[in-house]
Amino acid sequence: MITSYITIIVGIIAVVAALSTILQKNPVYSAVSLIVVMIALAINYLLLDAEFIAAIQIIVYAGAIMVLFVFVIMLLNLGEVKKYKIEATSGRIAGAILTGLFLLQLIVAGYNVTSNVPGIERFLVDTKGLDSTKIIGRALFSDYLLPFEVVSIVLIVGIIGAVVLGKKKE
Amino acid sequence: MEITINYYVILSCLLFSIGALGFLIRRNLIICFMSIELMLNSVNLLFVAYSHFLKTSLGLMYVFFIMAVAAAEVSIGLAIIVMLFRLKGTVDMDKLNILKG
Repeated sequence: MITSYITIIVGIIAVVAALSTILQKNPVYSAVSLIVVMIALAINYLLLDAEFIAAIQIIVYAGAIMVLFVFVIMLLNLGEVKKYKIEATSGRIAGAILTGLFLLQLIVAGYNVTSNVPGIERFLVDTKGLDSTKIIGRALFSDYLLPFEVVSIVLIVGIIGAVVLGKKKE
Repeated sequence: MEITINYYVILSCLLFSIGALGFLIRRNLIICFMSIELMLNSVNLLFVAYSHFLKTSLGLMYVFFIMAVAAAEVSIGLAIIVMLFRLKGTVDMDKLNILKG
């Protein structure tokens, strides 16, 4: 009962903070709002019995990625924004209408999805006595070993790419 | 009052649409990039919710890989933004039109 209320309150916080992210004038405030969204989602993950995902949501997203964003905002000195206003140009109005239609379509499509996904039996796991961390760890080093190794290559490419791009041309 | 999958579907759709709207109405490259992160997060939420309600680990694995790719993507993307700012002195998307033929 109480978890239902927490879930709904956290959802409302996430939506309000997301709106604040896209409507703030100052990019730093946007970044802080996005951190609030991510922490709200992490609480949602905890309520969905995914403790490991909640932890890496906080560590990777709220910790690493958002620090990178704030760091770049500081580096580019975008903090002082002059009288910037989001004007209602025709392109923006069209974008808002299109997004509204898109949202409607998403909800109509998603609302009727049942739990009967064909072929899901292959992936069902016996979660009794296992927490999500154990399930993920087992899967990572058995069925998902190749993707796991490929992800490490992707991360190395990310590191090297960032260094190469950020280097000053002589 | 029971929380069903439909609650998470709607919350995820709302967050995704807000991210798409932010990408369309803002001209600041960094805020557009944050909108993309918001969209990635909404998809993650849907994965975790379905993983919980269908009792499978598949969704959690996808979330793990999405997070790893997102981290790499952000580092590259922000490096490109810093480089662009050095080149053009702005992060306004309307002024970055050097690829316009």
